[in-house]
Amino acid sequence: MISLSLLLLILPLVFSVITGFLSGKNARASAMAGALINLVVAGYAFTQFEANTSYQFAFLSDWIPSIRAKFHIGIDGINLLLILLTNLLLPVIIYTVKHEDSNRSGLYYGLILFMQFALLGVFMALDALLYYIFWELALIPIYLILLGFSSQPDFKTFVKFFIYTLAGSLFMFIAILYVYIKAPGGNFSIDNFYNNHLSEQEQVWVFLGFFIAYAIKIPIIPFHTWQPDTYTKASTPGTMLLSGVMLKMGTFSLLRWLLPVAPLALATVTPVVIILCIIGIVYGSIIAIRQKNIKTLFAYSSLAHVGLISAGVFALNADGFNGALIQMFNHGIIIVGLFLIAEIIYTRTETYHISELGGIRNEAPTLAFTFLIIILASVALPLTNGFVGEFLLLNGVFQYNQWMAVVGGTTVILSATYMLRMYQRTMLGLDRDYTKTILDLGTVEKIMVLGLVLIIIVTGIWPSILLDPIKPAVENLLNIIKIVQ
Amino acid sequence: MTALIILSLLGILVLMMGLFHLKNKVLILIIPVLIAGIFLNANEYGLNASYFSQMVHFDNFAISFSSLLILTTTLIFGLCLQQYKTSKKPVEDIYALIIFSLVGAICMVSFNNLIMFILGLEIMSVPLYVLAGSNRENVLSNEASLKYFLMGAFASAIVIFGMTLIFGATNSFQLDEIRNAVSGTKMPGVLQVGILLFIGGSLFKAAAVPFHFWAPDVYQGSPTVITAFMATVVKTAAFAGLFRFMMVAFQDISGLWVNILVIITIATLFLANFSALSQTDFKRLMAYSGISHAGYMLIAILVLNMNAADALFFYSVSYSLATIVAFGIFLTMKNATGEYSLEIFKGLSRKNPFLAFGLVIAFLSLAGIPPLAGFFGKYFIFTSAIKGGFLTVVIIAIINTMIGAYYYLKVLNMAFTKDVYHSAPVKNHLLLDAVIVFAAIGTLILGFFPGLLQGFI
Amino acid sequence: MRSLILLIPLLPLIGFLLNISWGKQLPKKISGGIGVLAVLMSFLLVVYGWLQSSGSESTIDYTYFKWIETSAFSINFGFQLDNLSFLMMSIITGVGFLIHLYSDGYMHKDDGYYRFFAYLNLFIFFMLLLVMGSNLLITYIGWEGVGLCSYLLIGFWFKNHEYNDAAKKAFIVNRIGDLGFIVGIFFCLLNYKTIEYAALNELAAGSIQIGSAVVTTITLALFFGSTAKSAQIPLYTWLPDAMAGPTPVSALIHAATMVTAGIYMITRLNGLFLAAPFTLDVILVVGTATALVAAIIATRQNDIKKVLAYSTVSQLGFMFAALGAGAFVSGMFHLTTHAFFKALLFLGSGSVIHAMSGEQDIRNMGGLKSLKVTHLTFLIGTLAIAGIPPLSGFFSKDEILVNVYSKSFWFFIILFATAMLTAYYMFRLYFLTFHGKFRGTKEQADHLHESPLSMTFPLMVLAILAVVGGFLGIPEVFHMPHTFNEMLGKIVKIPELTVSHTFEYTVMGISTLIVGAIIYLTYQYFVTKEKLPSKSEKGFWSTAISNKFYIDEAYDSLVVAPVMGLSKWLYRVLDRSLTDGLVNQVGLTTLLSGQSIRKLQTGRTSLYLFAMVLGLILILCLNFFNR
Repeated sequence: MISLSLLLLILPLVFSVITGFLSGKNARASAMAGALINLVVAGYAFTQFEANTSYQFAFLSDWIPSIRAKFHIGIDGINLLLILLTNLLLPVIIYTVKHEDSNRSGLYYGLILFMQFALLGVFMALDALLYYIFWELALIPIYLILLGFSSQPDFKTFVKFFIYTLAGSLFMFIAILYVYIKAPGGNFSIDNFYNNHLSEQEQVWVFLGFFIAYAIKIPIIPFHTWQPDTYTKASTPGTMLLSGVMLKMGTFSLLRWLLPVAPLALATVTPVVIILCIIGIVYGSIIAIRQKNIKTLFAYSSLAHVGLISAGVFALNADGFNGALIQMFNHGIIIVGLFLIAEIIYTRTETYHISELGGIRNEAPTLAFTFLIIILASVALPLTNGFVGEFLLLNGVFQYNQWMAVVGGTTVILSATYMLRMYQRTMLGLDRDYTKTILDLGTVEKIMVLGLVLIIIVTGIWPSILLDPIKPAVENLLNIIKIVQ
Repeated sequence: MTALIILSLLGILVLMMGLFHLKNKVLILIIPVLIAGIFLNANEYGLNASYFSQMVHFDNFAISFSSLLILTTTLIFGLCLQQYKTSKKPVEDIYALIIFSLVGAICMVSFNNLIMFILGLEIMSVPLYVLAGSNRENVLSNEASLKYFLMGAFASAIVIFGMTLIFGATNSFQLDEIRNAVSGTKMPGVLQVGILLFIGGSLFKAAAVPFHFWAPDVYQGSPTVITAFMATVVKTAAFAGLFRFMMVAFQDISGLWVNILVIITIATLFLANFSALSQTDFKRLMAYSGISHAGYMLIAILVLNMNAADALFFYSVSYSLATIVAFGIFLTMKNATGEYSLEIFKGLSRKNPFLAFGLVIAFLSLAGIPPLAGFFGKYFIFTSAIKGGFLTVVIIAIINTMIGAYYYLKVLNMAFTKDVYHSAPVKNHLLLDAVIVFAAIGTLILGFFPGLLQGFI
Repeated sequence: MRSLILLIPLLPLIGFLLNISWGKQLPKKISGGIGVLAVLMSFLLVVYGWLQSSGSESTIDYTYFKWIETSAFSINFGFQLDNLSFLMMSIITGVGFLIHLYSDGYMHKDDGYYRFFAYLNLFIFFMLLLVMGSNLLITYIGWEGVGLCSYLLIGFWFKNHEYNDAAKKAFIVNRIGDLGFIVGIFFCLLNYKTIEYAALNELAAGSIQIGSAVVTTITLALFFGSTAKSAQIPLYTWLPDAMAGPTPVSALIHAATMVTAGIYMITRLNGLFLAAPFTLDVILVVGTATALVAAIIATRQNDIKKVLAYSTVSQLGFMFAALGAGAFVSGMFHLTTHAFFKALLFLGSGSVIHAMSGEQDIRNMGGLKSLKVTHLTFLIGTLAIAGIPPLSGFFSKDEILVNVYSKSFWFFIILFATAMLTAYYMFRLYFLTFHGKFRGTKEQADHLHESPLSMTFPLMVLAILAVVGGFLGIPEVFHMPHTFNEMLGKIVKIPELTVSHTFEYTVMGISTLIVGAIIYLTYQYFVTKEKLPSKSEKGFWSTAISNKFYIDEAYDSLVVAPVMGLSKWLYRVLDRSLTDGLVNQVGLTTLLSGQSIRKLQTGRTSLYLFAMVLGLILILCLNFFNR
């Protein structure tokens, strides 16, 4: 009997290789099949998941005996939602790939599936070295996707992204090596990393090493400058991978690899970090207001949202953690929904510029209406998923510091400002040259968009499906941090 | 030892076959023999035998490294066919010289006596001086040969001078005797000068700062396969030899030379990586890349223990494999376009996704991105260095890794841009492809299962 | 019963879903029918539910499922049903039904007919959630939801960017208040571990110290939330702009129901607010100030809907003043009567606009007495709001005045004056619209017609309600049962009035006399002398008033413009030039230093050899120091 987590990890790799050798429509079909099969497996794992603190469906085997690194993966409350998210988004991302370039489409789809493999590896790894490998591995396919398949390929932007994130993760690498060498167990297992017996001073350094990697990946200001350009210039599937799933690598890792590994450092560093996060919320939101390009606007809005997620994590309480985990899932759904709409608009009008759009609603009411729902989720209207996450997060931050929650809470106002401004300028008003003949959603597009909208609303009305399975793990995590502190 | 003998005989045989103009058939002989050599060599693993009144000592270190050297040479012969197939002139002498050079390299990794070391060094170097100029019609090639010879001779002199001083201080050429002589008693100052001169001379072949100046010019001028040979076999042999000497003889008195070596390491890393940033010629880029890798390998010599030996071996393997993939792809592209600039990779992913993918593996491995072999090479070296107390050096090395990533990515960028440099079709060649596939898969497998190559030494 | 109650909000939701999904394909009769019927059935269910539960003593709590549950707290999705929520529900569905019916006529020619009904149904759904919810968060769902519907409906004619701007402004200003609301929720969760209304009021009755910082902060935060939704100073500016929406929307959302959400919420939490005397004082001040300022502005407005909008703001100020005086029931009473007569007035104005082919400026109207039903019902509404006995407005306003008097004399005086102003601007509006000569164009005159029955029927029903609504709360000086006090007495604490009967009679008498005088003078001025408001105002005060005291302009230059400027500056300077510039500079420096180092490689062997020797010498020298 093969372990479910291993199956989840291997399937994308297998399909990635198969797809890599195909081309044109075959590649698309194969990629879609792979993504859907994995989605089914992930869905099955989700239903079979029991709400407790253990690592379930785990797979453990020797890997590099000489340094006692093991191949250990498993699913628990911390990564469950992200695994589900990754698999949910993949079909959408694959769908958005344009197949004009049939010669290389196999490569494109293959890279996307390979990316899925790496991302799932990051989320599931329970061995620090394995985790690091997957972490860096994820950089390769996304870089190639950016480089080879972007709408506006720009070496400067992408190499900045690559070197910047690589620079961050190398600091993490030093920190991992340090803990590995100093921790009593002498191996990379997650338990050994959690019980590392390092002094407070050492943990502060370890914290910084890990944190730089995550701060760049998430990104937390002022480490974010790679993000707007990359999001804007990447092809939309690439942007979706980056914003929907990849940035969750950072926020997820905060919970999995940062807080429990360096809990003694938290008292020292948390105040500074959380202020950065809060500033990021306001900063990203305000900048987003006047953006001219839809994708740049979404990039800055994403900056604000992940700022809130990170702030929730560093609030170090149950609400913050629950909210962060829930919101990672929600943000993934929402931002991919937003970029999907942006892409749909782009395929029809060939522009991302807000000033060139307008009046789309006249011709494409369904498009406009679903877009509105996704936007409302993004601005956290109750009964959409965005609200539950934002409520928990702000409540978590509030318990940490009331004024920070109020300042961070301005996202409620500012997000409405930039989103509605953008919505008005793109969707409402009279027809423009670019939008005169715009078509409404096609059948497959409808399935995709309505699928996302359905998730947005169902998890907004009934958040317990997401919250219940993760609660024990969150409690456990809090205990680990509290005991050591 | 068997391998050493067989290879020497093979060299002579190939030279003689030249008389019968069996140009294209000769590879059919060479490659199987080399492969057999690897196995025969590996067969001696664990025997720990000494030969020639303990002049050479085939311990696991020597066996592992010499297997690697033979393997690398085999792969380079795989590249040769493409290079020399169209040549109207006889190439058997070139093949023979490569084999002789290999024999010298094997001596360098298995020596137990400094005389044997200098012998190996010269056996390896002299054929190389010729090989560097083997493209006789090319001015650059001739210039490279001359430069290499002039500076190489100079470096050999320094090594020999250093050896003399060491001999003067310890009264022996035998490694274990030197070790016994230096431990405990206070040593005369000349010993230190001797060690440093020896290190300096050896670092010439390894191309470390400030003895690296020849590398870009010679790499650029030499025929491409010879460049590949220099970048892989010669570098590996130089490092293995130096490591072996320092490890066996001077481990106990590392305080005498380690600080200097730290400075050399840091200088090498920075200078190489900075210089590489703006290179536009593939071979010059590879030269600087090679210099920077010398910097990483120097860290292993700083640490100087069994861990470091293991790490150095893994590093050499990963570096050699990735370099061969890179050169293999470059050769294919060069044959299609006839040019040497990085531009020839433009649009490779459109013309030949297979080669583009190989390029990705090779360059990301060189850049040290997991999960490719190059990452674990760096990983093992860095861990051993942190354990050995060289945290600062590791941090500097890691900063250099970031800088390095830039120029490796620049090459990948060429391959994945939308514009295509040359519309000429890229012809795949079976043997060449086989070499690329072998080395690329090796890089991948070692990346996923680095445990396979662990603990040989 | 449990599931029946659930049906009350669900029916309009279903109506919304049906119309939004298939409304476009359906004939107007069906899509309109769905919309109207959903609300009617919901209204009948409310009446049935109220009758069923009227006998029971305690409130009914229905918990349907746990909505958000973490280890720290648990929030139920549940309804709390008592006379207060039933009162609100019946206003929402009852008045809502009438306005739906009216809309059928009003919107009949519009392309977005189905969409209009969908949004209206959605609004009813959210509004019901708001008043039915058993805790603050369910109310918050409705609170934000009605904000959304308000956004959708103000911008209903989305091709016009002025309307869209108004819609956006409404949503964003409301969001400012929502932040206060949600911060209040966080405070409750942090300090009291609950946000259930019942539990909070219970806590306030027991363990909470009166006037403590926590309870003051919570109530202030929640009140701040109300100032946006219920259009009070400082966040009222969106409501006049919201008149961009179709008139039934103004009647339903921006007069009768949504804007009263704040009053409902504070009444619902009266226990908590009574524990915070400071907050009550703030509410009294804000309410009184808003009532006065809005009334002053209304006197110089010429847009029929703008006058009514400022009138609404002013009347809401009255209600808040009542709350601030601790007279929650009086607030609710005025809320109810106001729902009747203000909906009536708005629908009447809609009928006028309909007849005038979209004309909204009262200077271009006049002599519209020919619209018999509209004219008559509008008159009733005007009389009611002006406080002519025995119409509904008279009683409810009088109750507020008396209650405020018992708290503070000066606030009473201000409100009294405001009430007189109300009479003035309403009759100014009435006379200019319906009396004198017709001042419109010839086409308008030809086209002039009374509205269809579907529009006049709601007017008639509302007119009856506006007349009789006051009898629900007759002051005790008349020795009649005060239905409102009896109904809400268990839920809301009713303050003891210390006012003498003589005083009450005096107030009633004087106010009626003054209003009578005002009506006469207004008639003289606008009808007999046929004076018209001039196009351009002269004089400092007139200019200031007709420009709404430049509040919008002030907000624009103090808040909007700085944020916009900051957005640009942050992006261009801080983000791109400085932060990103720094990152790029690091990369660029690296590249440039690479190029200069590269120059060492000259190609000359002698130089290389020299460098090697130099290196060796350097190493040996270093070695000297190393020793």
